[in-house]
Amino acid sequence: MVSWRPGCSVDNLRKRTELLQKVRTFFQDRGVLEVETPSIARCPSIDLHLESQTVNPAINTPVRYLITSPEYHMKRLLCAGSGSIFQVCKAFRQDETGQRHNPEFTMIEWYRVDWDHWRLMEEVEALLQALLDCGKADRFSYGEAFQIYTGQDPFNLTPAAFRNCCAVNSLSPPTYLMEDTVSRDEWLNFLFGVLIEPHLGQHRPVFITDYPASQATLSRINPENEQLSERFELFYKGMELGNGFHELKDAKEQATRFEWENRLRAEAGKAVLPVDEAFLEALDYGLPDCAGIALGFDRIVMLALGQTSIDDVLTFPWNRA
Amino acid sequence: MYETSEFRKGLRVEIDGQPYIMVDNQFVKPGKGQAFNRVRLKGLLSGNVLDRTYKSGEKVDKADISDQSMQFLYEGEGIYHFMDNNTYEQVEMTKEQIDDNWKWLVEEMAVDVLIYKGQPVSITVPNFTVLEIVHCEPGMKGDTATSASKPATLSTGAIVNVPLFVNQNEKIKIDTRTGEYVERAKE
Repeated sequence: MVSWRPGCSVDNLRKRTELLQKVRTFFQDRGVLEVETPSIARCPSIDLHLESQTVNPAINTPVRYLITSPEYHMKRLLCAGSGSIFQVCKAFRQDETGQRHNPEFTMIEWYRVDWDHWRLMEEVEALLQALLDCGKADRFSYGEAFQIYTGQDPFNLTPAAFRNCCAVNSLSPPTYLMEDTVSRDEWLNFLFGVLIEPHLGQHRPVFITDYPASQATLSRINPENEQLSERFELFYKGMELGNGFHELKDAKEQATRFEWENRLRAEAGKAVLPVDEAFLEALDYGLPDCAGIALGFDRIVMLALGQTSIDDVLTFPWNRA
Repeated sequence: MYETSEFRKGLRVEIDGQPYIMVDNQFVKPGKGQAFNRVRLKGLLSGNVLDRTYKSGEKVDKADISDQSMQFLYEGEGIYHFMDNNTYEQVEMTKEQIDDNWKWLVEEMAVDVLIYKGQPVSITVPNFTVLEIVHCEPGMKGDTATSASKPATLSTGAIVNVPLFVNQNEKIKIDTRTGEYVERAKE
C-alpha cells in the first residue's frame, strides 16, 4: 500500500514555492520571456545514454515521447524569433531513480540570444546567489579537474592509465568498462562520476568548462581547439546542478551528430530513434547566436533546504506517486 | 534476478556463490554518460565488505535466503537450540553464528533465524528487550541529572552501562541494536 502522505513536509513545500517565485522574478526583472512547450513530443532526444518514457496518445497512432528536456521545442521558438526565453517544466527520464534522481523532475531551462556560454555562466551564478545565498563560483576546465582529482590527462587517457587510476583509487572497474569496444568517454564518465564529482563545489559552486569535443552533444566545438567543446556543467556540494552550451547552430552538423548517436545506440543494442526533422529544419532556417542551460530545480531546493534526498523536496516522489 | 532499478539497502543477493546484503546503493549518472549503481555489499556468512559497480540494467542473482520466526529453547555446551512453533522443526547454531546476540537471549524469546540454502546462518533478536540486573554497585539517590554511568551485569551475563540511580534486581529496557540502556522497565 502506497502512503497517501506527501514526501516533503508542508514547510518544505512552502519554501519550494518561494524559491520558484524567486526564479520567475529573477527572469522577469531581466526581461526574459517565460514560455511553455509540450511535455509530449513526436520525437525523443537522441542520446546514447538518455531513455525517453513513451506514451500512447491514441490507439493506432505512433508512440510519442515524454521530453527529457524542452531543448528542441525551445530552440524552435528561438528560430521563430522569440528572443531570450526561459521555462520551468517537468522533464522525464527512464530508469533514473536514486537519492538525487526522480524519473520525473523539474527543470529550469533558459536561452540567451547573442550571448556566449561565458556570459551565461555569470547569469547562472547570479541566479544561484539569489536562490542559495552562496559565494562566487569557481571555474575549472575539464582537463584541469582531471589533473587535480585523478592526475590524468583526459584527452590522452590510455587503457593502462585508466586501469592504473582505478587501482590507485581501489576501484574495481565494472565489467562494461573492460570490454574492448568501450569508448574512452565511458572511462572518463566513470572516473568523473566516482572520483571528481563528489568533490566538486564543496564550499562554493564550480563550473567545469571545455568538455571534450567527443562529449559536445548540442554545443559548438571551440573554433580555436577542435578537441574542446563549448559545453559546461555546474556543480555545488558534490552534486551536478546543470548543463549548458554555446548552442550549435549548424543544421548539417547537428544531423550528423544525431546519426552518430543513433549508430552508437545500435551498436549498444538500443533502439534507433526517430530524428526530429522539424527541429533540424528550424536550425536550417536559422538559430540566433545563443547560449542555454538546464538546471535541476529539485536539487537546488535540496541545497536550499539542507536536504540530502530528492524525496524530501517532492510532493509525491516516484514511490508515492 | 534483481535489476539495478530494484537495488536498495537490505536487498539480499548472491555473488560468486556467496550471499550478501546490500548496505549501500548509490545511483550515479555522470553528465551525458552511462548511468551506474555503486553498491556496498556485506557477506552474510563472511562479514566481508565488497564494493561493486553495476551498469544500469544489469542484473544480479537473488540469494536463496529467508527469515524464519523461531523460539529460543536453550543453550548447552555452546550450541543454541531454536524451534519453529508452527512446524516444531528445530535448528542448532554455534556461538559464532549467534554472535553478540547471546547477550540478549532468554528462553522462549522470539527471534528471526536467517536460513541460507536450508541452513541456519544467523539470528536477529527483537530491537528492544527487558532484562534483570543481577549485579551492580548500589544506586545513588537523587543523582538523576548527571550523565555518569556504571557497569551492570544482566541475568544473561552481559554487561551494560546504566545510570547511577539504577539498582540491582531492577529490570531495565535495552536497545539490542546498540546494546544501550534505554530506561527502567515499567512493571
